[in-house]
Amino acid sequence: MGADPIVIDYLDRLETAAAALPEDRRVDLLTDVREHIEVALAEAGAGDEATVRAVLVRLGSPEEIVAAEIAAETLATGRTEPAVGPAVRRRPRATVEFKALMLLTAGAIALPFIGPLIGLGYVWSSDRWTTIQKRTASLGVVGLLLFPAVILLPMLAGGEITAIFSTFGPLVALVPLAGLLPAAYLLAVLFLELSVVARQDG
Amino acid sequence: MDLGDALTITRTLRPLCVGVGGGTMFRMVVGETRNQLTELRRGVVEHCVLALIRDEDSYAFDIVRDLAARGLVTSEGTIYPLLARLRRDGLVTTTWRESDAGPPRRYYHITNDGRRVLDDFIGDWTGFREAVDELLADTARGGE
Repeated sequence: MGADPIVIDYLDRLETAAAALPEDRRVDLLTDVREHIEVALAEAGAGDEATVRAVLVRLGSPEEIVAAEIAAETLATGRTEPAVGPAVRRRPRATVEFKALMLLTAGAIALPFIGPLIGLGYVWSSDRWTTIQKRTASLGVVGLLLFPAVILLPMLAGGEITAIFSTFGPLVALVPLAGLLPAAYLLAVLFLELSVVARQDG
Repeated sequence: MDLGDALTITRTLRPLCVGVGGGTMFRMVVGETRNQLTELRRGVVEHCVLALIRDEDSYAFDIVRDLAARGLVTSEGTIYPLLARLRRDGLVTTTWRESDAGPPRRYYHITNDGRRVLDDFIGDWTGFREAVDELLADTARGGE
């Protein structure tokens, strides 16, 4: 189960109908409905087309479910306007980008090596940067980290910590820099794109 | 108590009296004939969910099937926005439990806030139901 084309089609329709909902509510709704279908089919003990269709009919149309979601929120907040704003205001909050930049900057100082690498993970999961920009940032992080890592790690293993700081002091600075430089690049790219969008809107 | 205030009688019963915003959306999708019942269910069914799990935890599919069997919900999917709201409002908590058949089930457990909201609702509902019954009985007699 799960690969059933009828189910996939239904979930696609639900996702489309829910596109205007805030991200957290859309994800909640899709997860809940997907689980409902899985449990329903498991408890029916069958996955044939008739069973699948019966489960989906009982669920109701995707549009109906999304309307209920909008109504539930309207009821909760007592708002007299629909919970969903115009398409322009619908852009999801930049939490992923914020986490990525924080890990590349503050994370690079607090958690040398590890912070920026986790930050890169967030960079790749964002859809605000292009693949080329992500690759450039990754190359920057890995490249700048590799340089001190190759020299410092054997010395660290040998316990020559004081020697590291006396002879390779400048190199140690490269460790947080590996996060800071790519972060500055990503931030610049983001602002550049925003100002282009703003100019087009104006 | 904040949550008690958040679900006062006004909010619970308002949709029974007037169609609040978003009602237009409902009408467009569901159609005229179903609309009245849909409006009646709003604000009530989520309390029925709380009542169903008052003494024993249950998982979403089981709750939905129970409500459907009682005629309290027709399109089962429309219950999930209500379940999500109960979670967000802290009236229920959920835990995952393995199952013999199929995927793990998400079990719903009523919180102390949920119990208070349910108790408030029971009081409000009883008074409201009696008032409507009485009015309908009075006017029916008058019409004869």
